[in-house]
Amino acid sequence: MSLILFTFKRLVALVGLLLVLSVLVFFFSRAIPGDVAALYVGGNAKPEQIERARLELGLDKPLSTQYLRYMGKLFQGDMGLSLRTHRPVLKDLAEKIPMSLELVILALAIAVLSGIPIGGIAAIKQDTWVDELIKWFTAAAVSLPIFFLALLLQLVFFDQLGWFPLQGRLDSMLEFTHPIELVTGFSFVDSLVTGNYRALFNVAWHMVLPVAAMALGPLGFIARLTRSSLLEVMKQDYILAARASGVGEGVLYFRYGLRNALSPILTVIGLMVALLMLNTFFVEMIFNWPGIGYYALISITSLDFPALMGVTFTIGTIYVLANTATDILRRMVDPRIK
Amino acid sequence: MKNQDFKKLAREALADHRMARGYKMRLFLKKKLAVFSTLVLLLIVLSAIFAPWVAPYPDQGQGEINLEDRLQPFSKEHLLGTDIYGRDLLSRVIYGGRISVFGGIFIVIMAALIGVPLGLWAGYQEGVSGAIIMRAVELVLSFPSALVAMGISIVVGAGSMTALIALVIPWWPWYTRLVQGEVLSLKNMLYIEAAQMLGYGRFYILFRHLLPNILTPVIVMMLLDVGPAIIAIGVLSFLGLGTQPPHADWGLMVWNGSQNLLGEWWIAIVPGFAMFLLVTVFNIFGDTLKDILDPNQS
Repeated sequence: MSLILFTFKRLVALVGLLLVLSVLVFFFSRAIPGDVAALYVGGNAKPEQIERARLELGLDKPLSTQYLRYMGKLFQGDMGLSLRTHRPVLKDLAEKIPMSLELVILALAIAVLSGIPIGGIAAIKQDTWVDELIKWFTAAAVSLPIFFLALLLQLVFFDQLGWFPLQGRLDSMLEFTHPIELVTGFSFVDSLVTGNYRALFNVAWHMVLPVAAMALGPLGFIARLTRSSLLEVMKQDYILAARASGVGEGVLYFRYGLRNALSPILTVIGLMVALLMLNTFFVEMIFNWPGIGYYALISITSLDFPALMGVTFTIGTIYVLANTATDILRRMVDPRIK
Repeated sequence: MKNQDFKKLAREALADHRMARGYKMRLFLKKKLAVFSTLVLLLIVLSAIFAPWVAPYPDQGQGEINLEDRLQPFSKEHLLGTDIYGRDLLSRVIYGGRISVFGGIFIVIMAALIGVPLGLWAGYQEGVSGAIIMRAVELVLSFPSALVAMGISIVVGAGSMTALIALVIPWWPWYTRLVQGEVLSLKNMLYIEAAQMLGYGRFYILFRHLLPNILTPVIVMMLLDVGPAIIAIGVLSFLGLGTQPPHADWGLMVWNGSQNLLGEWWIAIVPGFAMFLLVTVFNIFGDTLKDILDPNQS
């Protein structure tokens, strides 16, 4: 099957999957106990106001009608109003998603770019103290619950050493003196293009701990996988042949070995994205980072159902897209996959 | 050959078998880290089982409030300090270990009990029923599992049992997928054909002939899954979707302790470290067993 046809098929499947997801989430979230109309108008509303809100939101109709109405609006780019912020959900999401993606992309980049070399070194130095040390480190990295790691980082690097800020995205002083203008929503990009270097460094400084908390687990996982995958590949005959013909060890591992060892690593990257998206929940809560994870948690606890739908759609889409991208990437790297 | 010779051969084979068994045991004992981890693991499991006898303050472990000793650091009376309600943290951690240890094992066993038979069936019986099973597997696996579990906990209502079941639901498809693949590669082998020829029933072949041959990868997967399952329980209870107070649970304890992190850091760090320790030793234990049980895979 050609790559284009494969991609096309996957995209069709993706749309189907998102439709199933939408049905599940819609009926699921309406099963949560709680009166949506009452939540919408707030605590002190009179019964008539609640009734009016019910009609306004179309809540008097059967659930299936409500679903179709929701989906119809969704295709017009309308996700409804948040019951909590009373702003369009789409607007909330557009503001929050870049904030989280910034953390996720950075953490993923760090995890992949340092996990693969670390695993590679462990494989080259198999059964030496270096390998042993890396084994300990990665075993600890994958065993640390993210929320515990985040608290630990705060305790050590803020409370004890004072190197990094406790939480937030920008010093509250700078929020007034050097506010970041909204261009793309990515604070790095925005502060860079507007030449706001003080904010840029401040944001970077605030990001160190949350990104470290998010990157460590995936880093350990990727390093372990790289080690075992590379060791597997290095047993192959073609490596023996290359070694016999005098290819240097470095070239042998990183050019001949790694490329074939990469396929299983790429497979888990989709999984890592999913894990990182989930970890934004904890990291953003603990570090008070105004992203989609924090938004999702508040939406859950306040039963903000339109926001919850929006969040699930977003995370589901990112998750499925990441998996699809991984599959396509794997086929490009490894032509043996059929 | 005479009957005597057969008996001798059988005896030798048995001796070889026993040697091989002992060999695996010796392989395990040679790895110091693995032995140490196993001892720590045993210690945690035993203290979870015998919590009422091991915990210095069993009543506080179960939730009794003791306002006189609030927020105490490590001391002789309270080895690991006390929490915001003055409860002895060591006792709380011992009691909280119960849900982590047994919950983690429960999730993995349930996932295997559901996933393995479905995988056997889907692999052996190509056709509509097998296809339906595999589509269901793909469907469940294509959603973020933690979100599924969170959603279920919210709808059904938080509690430790709900959390465990909510975690089994996105967990079993991994086993189905593994087993289905293994069955597909085994079912065309000669011994299966022979069994079919002899007229054995479908279920007899599945459980008697196929299952024993795919048990090793399943057990390896189960061993490696307990650690992540323990973390998943912690994640749910950290969000308030698992065990409810006054019962002890490490995730919940970390959450409560995080409110006092910058003063009484031990309230969050002690249960968090307990979780880290348990998951680490379980992972090392599982990894080592995996290398020994399944040397070709590592």
